[in-house]
Amino acid sequence: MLRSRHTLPLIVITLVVSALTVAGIMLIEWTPERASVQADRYWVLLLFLVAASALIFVIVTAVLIYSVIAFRAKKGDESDGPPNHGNTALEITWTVLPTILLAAMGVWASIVLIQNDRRDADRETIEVTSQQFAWSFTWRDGVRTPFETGDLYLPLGRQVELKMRSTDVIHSLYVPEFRLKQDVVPGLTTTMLVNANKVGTYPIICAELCGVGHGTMRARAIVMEEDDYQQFLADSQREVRTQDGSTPATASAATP
Amino acid sequence: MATFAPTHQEPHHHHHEVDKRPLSYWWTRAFVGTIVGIAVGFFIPWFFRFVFGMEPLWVPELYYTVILSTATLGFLAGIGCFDYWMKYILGHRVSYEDHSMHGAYSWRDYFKVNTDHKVIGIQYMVTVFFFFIVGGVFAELVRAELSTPGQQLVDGEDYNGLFSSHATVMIFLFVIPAFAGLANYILPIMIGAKDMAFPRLNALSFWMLIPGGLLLAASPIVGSYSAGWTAYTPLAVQGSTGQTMFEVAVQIVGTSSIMAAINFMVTIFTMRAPGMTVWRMPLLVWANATTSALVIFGTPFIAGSQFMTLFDRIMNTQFFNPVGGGDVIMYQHVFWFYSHPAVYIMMLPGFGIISEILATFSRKPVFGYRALAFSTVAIAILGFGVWAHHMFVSGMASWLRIPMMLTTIVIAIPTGVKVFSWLGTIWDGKLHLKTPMLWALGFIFTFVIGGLSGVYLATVPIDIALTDTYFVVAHIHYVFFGGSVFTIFAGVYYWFPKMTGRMYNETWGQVHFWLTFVGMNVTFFPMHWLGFQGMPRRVADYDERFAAMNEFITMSTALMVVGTLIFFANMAYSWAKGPKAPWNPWRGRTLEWLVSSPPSTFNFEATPQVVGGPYQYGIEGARHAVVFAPEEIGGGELTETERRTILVVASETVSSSTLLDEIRRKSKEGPWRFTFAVPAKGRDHRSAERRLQVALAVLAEAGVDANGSVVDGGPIEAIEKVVEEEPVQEVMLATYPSGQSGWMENDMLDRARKATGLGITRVVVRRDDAVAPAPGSGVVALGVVANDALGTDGLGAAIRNRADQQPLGVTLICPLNLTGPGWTDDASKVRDEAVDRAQRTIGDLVDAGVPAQGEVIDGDEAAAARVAVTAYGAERVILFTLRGEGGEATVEAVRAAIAPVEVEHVVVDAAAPAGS
Amino acid sequence: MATTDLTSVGEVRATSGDGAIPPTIDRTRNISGGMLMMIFFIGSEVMLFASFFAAYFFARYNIADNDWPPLNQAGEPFKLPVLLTGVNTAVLVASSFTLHWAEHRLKLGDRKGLQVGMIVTMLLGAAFLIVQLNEYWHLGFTPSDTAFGSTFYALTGLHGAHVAVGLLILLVMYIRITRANDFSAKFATPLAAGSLYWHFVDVVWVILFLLVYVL
Repeated sequence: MLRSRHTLPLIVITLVVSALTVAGIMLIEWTPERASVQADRYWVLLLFLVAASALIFVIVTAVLIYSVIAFRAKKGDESDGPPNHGNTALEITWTVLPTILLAAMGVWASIVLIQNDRRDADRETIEVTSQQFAWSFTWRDGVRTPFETGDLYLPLGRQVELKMRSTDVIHSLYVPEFRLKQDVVPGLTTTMLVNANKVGTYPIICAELCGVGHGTMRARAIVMEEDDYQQFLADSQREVRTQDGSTPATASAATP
Repeated sequence: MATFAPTHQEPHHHHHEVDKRPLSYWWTRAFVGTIVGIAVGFFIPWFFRFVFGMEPLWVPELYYTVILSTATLGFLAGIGCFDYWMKYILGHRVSYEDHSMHGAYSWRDYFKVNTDHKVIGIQYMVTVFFFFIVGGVFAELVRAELSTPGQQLVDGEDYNGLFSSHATVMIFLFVIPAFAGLANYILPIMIGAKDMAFPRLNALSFWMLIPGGLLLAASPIVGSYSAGWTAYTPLAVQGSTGQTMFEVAVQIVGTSSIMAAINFMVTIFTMRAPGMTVWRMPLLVWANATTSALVIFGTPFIAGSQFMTLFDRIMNTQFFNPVGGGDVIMYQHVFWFYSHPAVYIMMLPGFGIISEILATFSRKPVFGYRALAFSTVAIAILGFGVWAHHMFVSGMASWLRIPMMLTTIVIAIPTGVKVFSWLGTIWDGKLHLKTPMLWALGFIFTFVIGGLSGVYLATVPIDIALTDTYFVVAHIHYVFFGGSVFTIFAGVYYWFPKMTGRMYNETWGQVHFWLTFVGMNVTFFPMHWLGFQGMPRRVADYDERFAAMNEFITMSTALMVVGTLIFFANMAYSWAKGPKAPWNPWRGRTLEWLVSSPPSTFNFEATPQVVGGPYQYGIEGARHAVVFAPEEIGGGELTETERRTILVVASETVSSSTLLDEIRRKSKEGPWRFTFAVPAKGRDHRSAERRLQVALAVLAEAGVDANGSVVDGGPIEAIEKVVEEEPVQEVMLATYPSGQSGWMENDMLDRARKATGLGITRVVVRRDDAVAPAPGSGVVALGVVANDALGTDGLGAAIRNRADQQPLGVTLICPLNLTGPGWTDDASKVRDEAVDRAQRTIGDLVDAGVPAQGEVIDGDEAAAARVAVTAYGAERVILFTLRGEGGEATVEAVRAAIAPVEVEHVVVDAAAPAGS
Repeated sequence: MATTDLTSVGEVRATSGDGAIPPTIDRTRNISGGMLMMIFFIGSEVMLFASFFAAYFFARYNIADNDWPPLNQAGEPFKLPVLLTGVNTAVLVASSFTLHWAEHRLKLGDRKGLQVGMIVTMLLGAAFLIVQLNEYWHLGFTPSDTAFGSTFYALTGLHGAHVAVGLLILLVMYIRITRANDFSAKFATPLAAGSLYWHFVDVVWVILFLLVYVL
């Protein structure tokens, strides 16, 4: 009954709104480059979310626009509309379908989360210390002499586990290109796992309000090839030795 | 059947004298109370520390905490919140029904403690909009700093204080109390109650907002709280005195909120009108009941979190100190356990408002009423189980993340049900796009966007990247501004006529909406992009590549600022000078529309009876409730049809009995009100005014609701002017018969139809009927006896002056005083000449707007007076004589002839005849 | 007149309507507004206690891993006077019984009994508070002494404040009975509301005692 005269204009409006929505999605560069495996998993999940939310948005907007045009009361028309109190079939549909969509999303997201949290056997462990208002990164693996830097160096293609501590208030380590963020909490050690898969320099941003210097508390995450990374580790050992002026105490084997 | 009801009545002082103490008394008391409170607040910690020998004696934050608390109590005691209870506690006789502080009879009552929920509602609304400006100014300062990267305007600590204050003021001093205020005014009327369950507690809830609000809004002066409105520890423990003020103020406004919520719950549970089952409650009542439950059970958690932070600050406790075994993240758990339900506290009442507005302006029942009711409750209950979705990256127990993600996703389902039900409500309706409806429709658009971005944030892997970025800022402003604030504006516009008794300006309302709608989207949508790109929140300095976008966003806020200014101007002007609002301008069906605008002191004269659901549009004869009219206007039942306005356009015919009879007949058909527009283009305004007064007097006497004015212009201009200012449903055009009517020659009927698009009824008035004085009632029938005085300026002026004072209908009897036989030629000549003069005088009077008729008789003045009284029903007689004619004997004779009718003697000068 | 059942039986009538006399409220539900208010208020107070209990649980199970009580500055675990507090608990529980007895006397119209019962209740409550304050004096640790001290004092202090308020409420009711002569069947409802508050304070203490002192 109602369907016949509403269907065509409604479809037209839906197509127009869809076109604008899709254009908005495709023509704007929404996200920065991806530099980690976690970012890649995030990307696919995000696409699904974008599609689902665009669908809902288009339906709601199209119905709104169409209603305002088609059902506007004529001037002087004081009559009431039809006394529709509900439609059980419709209400069930619009409860069940979103539930299915959301359930799928929940399951997928849980899988991504579990995958992102898996620890690789060959991971590199680096300690992070945050304080008001600076980051410092410490390599302490029991083999080499511990050393500390102001930037984070990561090997390409290998997992890095960051063990993070704070000396004062809560901070948060955030690298947009990794799509990763983790609060750093005094009294705890929090961890972050990242599998960097693109060489480059990315900003480390503090993402939890920590006081006056919160906005400028920055560092860099530098992803380099495995060879370059080993070189960096070796170089830093030399620097530590030079600063110390003494021979380092190594755990077991003699230095090469 | 009753046709109108008295508005805002004067009390009859039967039982309780209204408290007469002046404003200065109460505010002096409040000032003294505050000072005493400060002194006591200083003394108590000092005394304890001194007696127990605690070192050091002066611990600033501890003292500030106690002082702020006792000063608040002192203020509240001084302003009079506790007077009644103190009498009760001390064992005095008190009457439960003490109304000495009830009702507003002047503007002063709004600045005192008042127990009338309508007064409190308005006190809330004005106060929250004041804080809206404060919060908005903070926001603009934030945006000003953000328009370029780097630190320019304010230093880091002040900037952190600005966004912290912005959020805190908007949440605790605008959104939450705004809903409380609107519900305070409307809800009791909507359920058929005379007031809230606990009016004195209601007043206390409002007054607590004043000290609490001042503390929050004024703390920038002492060094603002700068840890965000979320006040995470340990940063909050580090903060300045402003942080202490924040912690104390949150307790105060939280207590205010809880007490108001308890009041709403008890009111809704126990004071619904008979017949209002829960399934006949309007959805606003459902929303407020659910919200009140959230407030009662949730707010204590933020109180607890702030107590703990406060103790860590002033007493060196170890709640959040890891060194002492404290748990930093525990703060977040306790805080968010309230603050997530808080966002539903800030949204559910808005949902209720939208349901009301969509039904009224679509002329359709709410689609899926039960689904909407159930989903409201579901959202509230589920809302207690999702708090940790604010903490996905906080370092909390990692096993909690997936369950919290799932519960958060589940909440999207009842929310979606609501949105679809609203769409179902407007679908196939008859949409009237007035300002409240525009806000409601705009809300659906922006809230859906906000809700969808929430789903992104619910998904943990996505949230890990997006939390603490501008994506969250975008989300919260879409749901708070595009959600809560839009619904607050919608509610204010919707119930403005009811609350103030005046209509706001529709055009400016629409301008406000469009400016804000466009401005809001243009300001906040780009923030999604900023968040994806990695701009963190709560920073003044950011990457250079975000500079252009931030500048654009800052400029865009101008649209909202202008819109808001227009809103305030519209509200202020309309409240003072807007056209009077009818009872039911929107033809709504809920109970608040069945009483006057504004309602009388106790809302209803008798408890109404609810007989059906609240949204039965489209069903012939369906009714929600039966309301009873006051006895003094006839008692009985006040039917539920809307009060419609009929515009009457009449010029010389306005006081004719034909037209007035027709109006009287029509008024019996329903509770009409009549607006007169008397076009006086090219004619004498005062005459038109006098005619109009006659008509209004006759109608008032008959109990017909009529008013109107003389309009400088033609009939079409008059029609357009009235239609612009008030909604008119029908037009009556009174004209002379075709052939005699200038209007009909000019096609006035068709032109009026085109101008209004409404039905036009034509009332044909014969010329002689137009000039005849309307019988009795409200119009003084004046008999004029004059012969030689006819035609003088003095006579005309005297009668016109009296007509200005009260509506007159004149009967002129001219006594010929014939001495000889009446059939002679001489007598005929005298008679003709007298008739001529009499007709001219009558003509002049009619032209001057005084209905007049008359005749010439052969007899003397006494006989003339007798004719005037007996044949024409004159209530009063004026005898005019020329100066120098000596009429004492005549006067005596007239008085004797018609005693006890009052006779006045006026002497006029013989002069040139009054101009023709 | 359209539709359906009118579930309530209130009489509806127009009053003389002079505007200053409100219409009669048609109370068609059985519970009194005052009692309902007290129930909701107690609900919010329960949640306030819950937030502090949450702090306690986090400190004990999340941070300390139930290694509880923790060690104080002298290296020994904190000690709580369980036995003495147990007796004190009995005192407070007894006060609930005496209050209940007092309410009963009101229903029987025994004014003297009501007054006696209330005085005994207040004395028992005051005794509880005094013993608690004395305990504070002799505990040997302060609120600053680790999260143990903080949560302990916060919970017991919050409770003590509620007991104090409860005593005030009892006192006010006592004044109403004696000075204002509020002794009548109508007073049963305010008395019931006040005594519900007292019972709530009592129950919270029992839970607190079990969770903090005993376990």
